[in-house]
Amino acid sequence: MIGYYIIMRMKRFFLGFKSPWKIVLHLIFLFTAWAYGRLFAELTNKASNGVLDSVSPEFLINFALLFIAGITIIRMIVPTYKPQKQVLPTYYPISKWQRYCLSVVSDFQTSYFFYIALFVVISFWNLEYSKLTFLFTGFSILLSAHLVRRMFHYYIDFKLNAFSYVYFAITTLIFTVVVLNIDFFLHYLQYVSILVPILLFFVGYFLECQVIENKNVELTTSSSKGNYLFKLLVNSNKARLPLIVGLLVKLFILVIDLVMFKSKGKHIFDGQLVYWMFASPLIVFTYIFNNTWGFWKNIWLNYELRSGKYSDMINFNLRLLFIPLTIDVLITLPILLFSWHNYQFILLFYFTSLVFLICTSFVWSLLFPMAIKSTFQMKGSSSFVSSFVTMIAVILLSVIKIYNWFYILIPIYLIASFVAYKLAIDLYKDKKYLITNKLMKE
Amino acid sequence: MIQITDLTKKYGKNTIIETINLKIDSGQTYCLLGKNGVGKTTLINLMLDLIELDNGNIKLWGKEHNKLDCADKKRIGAVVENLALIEELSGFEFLLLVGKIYKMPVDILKKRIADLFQYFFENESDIKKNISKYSTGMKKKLAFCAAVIHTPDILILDEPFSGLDPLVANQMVMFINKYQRADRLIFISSHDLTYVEKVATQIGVLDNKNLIFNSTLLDFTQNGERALDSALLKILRPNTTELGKIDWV
Repeated sequence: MIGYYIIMRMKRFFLGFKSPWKIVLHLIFLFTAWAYGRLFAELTNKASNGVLDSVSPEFLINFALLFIAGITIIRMIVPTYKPQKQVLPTYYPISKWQRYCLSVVSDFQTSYFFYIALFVVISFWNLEYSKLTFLFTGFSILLSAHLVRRMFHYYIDFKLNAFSYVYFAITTLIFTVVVLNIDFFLHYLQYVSILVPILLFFVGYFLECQVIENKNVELTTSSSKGNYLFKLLVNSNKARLPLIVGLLVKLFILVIDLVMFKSKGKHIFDGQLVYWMFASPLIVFTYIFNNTWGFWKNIWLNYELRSGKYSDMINFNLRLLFIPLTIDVLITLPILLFSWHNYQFILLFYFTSLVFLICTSFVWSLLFPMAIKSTFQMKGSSSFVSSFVTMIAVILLSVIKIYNWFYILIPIYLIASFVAYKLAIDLYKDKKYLITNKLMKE
Repeated sequence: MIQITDLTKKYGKNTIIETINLKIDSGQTYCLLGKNGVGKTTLINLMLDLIELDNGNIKLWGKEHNKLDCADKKRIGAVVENLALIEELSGFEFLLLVGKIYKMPVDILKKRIADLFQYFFENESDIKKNISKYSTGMKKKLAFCAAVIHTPDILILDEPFSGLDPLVANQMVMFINKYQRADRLIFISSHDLTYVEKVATQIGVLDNKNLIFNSTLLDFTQNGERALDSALLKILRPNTTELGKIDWV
């Protein structure tokens, strides 16, 4: 069965080559893996030969291995959280062992692992020293990092028996022991490289056995009384979690900035460009409200069926925005005012970007609706075009800090906002079918 | 009330509906029958202007269906394929929101919500439950309540009986029959012939992109001589020859 599944996946992969874009994309990836493999080996060889005296070859190898481990685990949450794929539903009549093996094999049968493995092999081929060590540890770390990622998934995506937490405690204990005695274990690197992935593989299987059921991530079942707008946000995990994550990331960055400014007198990102993306309410829009109808398609459908006026939908959208934007104002303004001491700039920048983002979001939600099928999805929660344009617009607005004449941008942004609002209302009758076509195909 | 002229709808190169002509007057309960995937829901979505037609036109009260204003929309009630329920809310909150969209007076709205819940739901606490906790049948009932709460002149129902237990389905049949008046039109797409028979005045059969039958219920059943299902099977001619070839059952 596993063999058949692998063949089917490979067949599907090659069928994808009918699209010329996919061929180009894979050629680019192939070239990148090859180029980086060569570059890494070249640098390491030079470091070994004493040509590069600023870094040691060990440092470069450890850096590459750490990078492989880091990226393999982090891709679980960047750009969005991607839940663990279930190859077969739980009611299929196969054993847990078979299901687990199939799931692991299917995980590794992806382009990502192919290109990382290719990087390791090309590096191994071109390295002059530590060839085999790098090959073994490279593959070992790639496998181990992914198996660790799977362990996280079990705790996030599934309801587990209490026994699973015993495994968690044991694994944490082993990990701590290894970290504390890292020098001892490095002496036996070749054995550790083989044993760690095997151990993680079996821990994963034991966790698989503890799965009770999937966690329901679609809707919470809170039926508490309260404002229905609040319930629309709180009871929808698809919207709530990204909003919480986005606002927490923002708070984290602003707090770090504040600490850095107070201790070193410098702002994070030097207080330039990217900084202002976090200082504006951009995250609320790129995460959710540039695609409002994707998150609440039935609100749109009810308004379309019963009123048909986009102005009514916009009014509702504004009410829905009130709570997240209030939180954003409360998080952002006090910190910015405290760390910049330039009230005029901060207030004008924040509120102009706010008006601009709100008004343009009505256009994005209409012209670029995206179906939201899970809490976090790889393709993102709003369109690339809307995210790109709003990011550039917010960054551009931050130039008013540089020179007073640039304050001329503020009326321009306000006029653009008004135009966007009018455009959304005027375009609605003709473009509303985009929403049905994109969101109602289920 | 509804006039469809030369209606054509394609998805890419695939034609779903081809030059359909249909006129339905007020006072009728028109039931559209047909196999799965034949385009019944597409026709309803076209009538509701949720999808764009490729050719022809649909008129409601003599107006182009895509030029209806807010007041016209308030004269239409619909249960669509995905039911359009907002599952984050309770049943009561959802109906309240629907009523607010129609700008109904709050006292009238609350009375109607109470009446509908008492009629369709056994347990009074269901009204406060989140819709996400509702069963399929409860969701269908709630969608029906949202479609009739503002007493529309045109009521369009996509598969209203599916997922309902016989008791509730009969309750819905009784409600539809009570709802029907000379100045109202009810358009139903359904597979449940048992219930269709109890409400329909007109029958339409959609097959192979066209409306292959369009007449009264009496014509369809040949003045009651033929049961609805056998009348339908005679028109659609199901594939029975292939069954003989399956010798392993």
